[in-house]
Amino acid sequence: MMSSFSPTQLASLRDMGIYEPFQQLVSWGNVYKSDINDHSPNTASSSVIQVDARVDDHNNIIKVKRRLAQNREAARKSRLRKKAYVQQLEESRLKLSQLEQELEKAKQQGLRVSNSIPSGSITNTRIATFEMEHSHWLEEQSRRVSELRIALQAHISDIELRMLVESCLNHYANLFRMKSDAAKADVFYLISGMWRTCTERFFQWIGGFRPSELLNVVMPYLQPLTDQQVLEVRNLQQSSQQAEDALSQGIEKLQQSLVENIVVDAFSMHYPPQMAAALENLQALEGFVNQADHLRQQTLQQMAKILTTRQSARGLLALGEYLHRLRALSSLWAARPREPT
Amino acid sequence: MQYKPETRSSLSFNKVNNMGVFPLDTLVRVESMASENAVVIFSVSTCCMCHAVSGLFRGMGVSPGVHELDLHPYGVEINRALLRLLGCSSGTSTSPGGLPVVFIGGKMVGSMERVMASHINGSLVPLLKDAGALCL
Repeated sequence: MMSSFSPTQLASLRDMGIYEPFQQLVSWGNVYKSDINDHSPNTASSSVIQVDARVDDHNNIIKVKRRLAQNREAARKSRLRKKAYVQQLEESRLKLSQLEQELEKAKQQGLRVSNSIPSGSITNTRIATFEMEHSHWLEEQSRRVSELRIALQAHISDIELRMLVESCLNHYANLFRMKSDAAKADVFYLISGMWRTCTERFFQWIGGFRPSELLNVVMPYLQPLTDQQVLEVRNLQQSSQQAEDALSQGIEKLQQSLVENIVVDAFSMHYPPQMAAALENLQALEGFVNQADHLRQQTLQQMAKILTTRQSARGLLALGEYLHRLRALSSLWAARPREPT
Repeated sequence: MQYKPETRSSLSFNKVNNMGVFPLDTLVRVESMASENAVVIFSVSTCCMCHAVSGLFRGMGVSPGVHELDLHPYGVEINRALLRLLGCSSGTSTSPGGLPVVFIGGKMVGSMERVMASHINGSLVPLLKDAGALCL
């Protein structure tokens, strides 16, 4: 996604808080593209005994002029791309603030912006509280991610970095606590992911991110790892995957039981739908959401145990930026230009 | 699983006991059931979390022994005993009734949460190996 951005664009993206830590992932456009017709003196054929110095200089001047022209063109194109990108961001920011205003208005009118409104104002209050707390959580999260970025660049002491890492992990723990309270109030709200952006929902597994997937995202940013660490991380990925599969199987069984309980046997009118049993199935859902969050928390903590302080900080930074970018993508998607229907 | 029919007279003593003393024969029964296999799961046949935990072990190549307490003649007492062993009141984060409860090598590991936590922190596999549930 970022591969077509030039250095100047990257700099302004960095300022906007979208940071690309791995510059080798970014192609720097035409700037350093090698000239196809480049005849370096080193590859000159052995049949050429003497090179006329003046002709050589003239050729070099042509090459330099051509390269400068290409640079100018690349810079111009990248300025245009930057302009278009900034415009898109501005539009989506506007759209976002409009939506926030509408949401505020709707909340004040006592309505809830969701499809599955459960009856009961207590539930509504709890969910509204969760939404508010979650938006504060997101703000706090981006502050912490910035702190990590600055700290890693500033080369602070290991002790101070450790404190930052711990506070980041605690911040995630707060999220899981909030989710657990929300699940008690309305598990379907939580599991629907309505409180998340559309791209996050696309990757959703039982009301949140899939731990093994996040490990994959974060891995490149932890290098170099010792052999022992590589082994431990692989084991963690495998255990996490196995635990995820187990919970998924449990949910499938839950769905199966639910269907069996409410389906009426067409051949025997004496077998009524087992609504009480079906309700029990639904009650079990909260347990699965809690176990999934518990798995997320355990995976994060185990990573922090396997890694050094600096590696953990880099991992948490990469994770925070990945999630931020995923959310930003949702806004861009919502604001994308579309043909009038 | 085939359950041997037993008289309930030996258990009626415990019903009279009002001090909440731990019924000894239930404990003994739990212990013996927990030692039947390297991995033993106390479960309820309709419980999906129980299905998940046995799926976890099967996915690791372990075949656990599963006791469905809702189909067991002394299931209620066993369930109560297990809850006391877990040291928690009713209403845990996994499922009502405190099940599933997992034993490895005859020793109690605990609920789904404990099992997953020990798998993530790497302590589950050594436990399984020690109990002979996993070959190298």
